[in-house]
Parts: sequence; C-alpha cells; structure tokens
Amino acid sequence: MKSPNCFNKKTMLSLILRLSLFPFCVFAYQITGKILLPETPVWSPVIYLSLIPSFDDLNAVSEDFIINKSDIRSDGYFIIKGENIPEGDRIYRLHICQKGDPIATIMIGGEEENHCHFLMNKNSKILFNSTDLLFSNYQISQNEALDNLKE
Amino acid sequence: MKKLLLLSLLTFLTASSFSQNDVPQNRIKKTLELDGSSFQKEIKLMVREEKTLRYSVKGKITGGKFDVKIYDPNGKKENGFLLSTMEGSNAKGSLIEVNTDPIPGIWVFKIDNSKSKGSISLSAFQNNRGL
Repeated sequence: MKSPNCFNKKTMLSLILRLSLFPFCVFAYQITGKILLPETPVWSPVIYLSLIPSFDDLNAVSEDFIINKSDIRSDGYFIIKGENIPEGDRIYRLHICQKGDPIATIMIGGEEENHCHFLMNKNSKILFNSTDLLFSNYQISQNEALDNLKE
Repeated sequence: MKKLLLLSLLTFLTASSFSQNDVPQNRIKKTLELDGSSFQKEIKLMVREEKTLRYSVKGKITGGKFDVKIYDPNGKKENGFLLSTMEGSNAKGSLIEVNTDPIPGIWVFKIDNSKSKGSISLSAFQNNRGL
C-alpha cells in the first residue's frame, strides 16, 4: 500500500510540472500589436490571421486560409492567440478589410495595401507595430530569430 | 483545290482570332464581366522605354476562382493575384503597381477564370517619368 506521503509527493510533482507547462499549452502563439486605421474609407475593426500554404500563394486569398481573428480596439491595439497551427515555421498573413468587403480581400500595392506577411511557428510571440496608417510602415519582431518577410 | 480552300479558310480564321487577342496595345482599359463560365484570356501591352508603367487590376467575385498574372517581356512573372472562394462566398482583390523602369517590349496579362461571377477592371498605361 502506498504511503500518503509518497502519493502527495507524486501529486505535487505532477501539479508543478503541469503548472510550469501551462503557459505553453494554453496559448502557444501570440501576436500583439497596434495598427492605425484611417477615418476614410471606413475599415472594419477586425484583423485576420491566415496560414499561407506556400510562397506561391503570397498573392492569393481565400476564406480557407483564415485561421483566426481578433477585434481591433479603438486605440488600434489587438491580440491574436491560439494553438491551431501546424508544426514548424510557416508563412502567415495579417490582413484587414474595408467595411462591406468580403473577409477574403487582398489589396496589393498603393496606399490601401491591407496586409503583411511573416514567418511564425506555434511557439512564436510576435510584436507588430505600425507607425503609419495601415501597413504602410510597420515592424514585426519576435522572440525567435525569424526574419520578417516584409516585401 | 478543296483542300487548298479549306487550308486558306483555316489560316484566315486562326489569324483573325490570333489578332483579336494578340495585338499589343499601348494602353489597357477594360472591364471583364464574369458570368460563371470558365475561360482564359491574354491581354498584351506594348511597353516603351523611358516611361513609367502604371497598371491596376481590381475586382470582386462570387464563387469559383479568378487568377491574373502579369508577365514582363522576358516571360518573368512580375505580379498578379488569385481570388479563391468557398461555395457561395465572395473574394475581392486589387493590385496597383507603378514601375518607373519597366522592361520595354510586350507585357502580358494572363487571365484565368474558373466559374466565378463578378466584375474585374484592368487598367494600364505609360506616362513620362516623375508624373
């Protein structure tokens, strides 16, 4: 018969182990940032995260690609977190849409470019910071040495 | 004699259809209405030296897929986008490009529509640098 002390030690060890892994299990990846939306045209205060299947799809858009989304606060801040992404470094896209447009919208070039690409894996903690409207001037940094794919 | 006539007719028809699609234009301003059918189309643009090339492709589709690719005279893909929809959903794309030093020659806009409905507008022209 097991002694109560032995049981308690095992339980405590298991509890400590679970607690230490907790932050990594709950939200594996996290993207925080700030984006500045112009007053006109009117943009929806929602930012979408897409998993891009390959480099050939950098200019492709489909609802199928979208894996997560988050509201953008009135001051421009947003946070997207989750764990529903595949292993390894993959290409991701953040994008926004003008009001009334489909969520599968890509705007390439010009002042209204609506997206950016970057590499991320399921443990990445991404910081997105825009110093001008939309995606015209932004920086992406993260906890790992992965280069931003800014085009 | 019959064979010769048939051959002449075929040559004429081929040349006619070729000329409609393949004569390079100095500028493009077109709107393609997509009715849910599938088709491929090439639009050619004659690009001259020492002028800025400006082009845009904009559109919204419902259902199907729409793909546009833009190639320079060397056959290198320069730009484009692919709109892909799930059943009954919409997708929208726009592409704006300003190339201040384009390769002179024939640029090709290759369009491949697969069962999508909607409207796509294309515009391309050149003007003097700096304008």
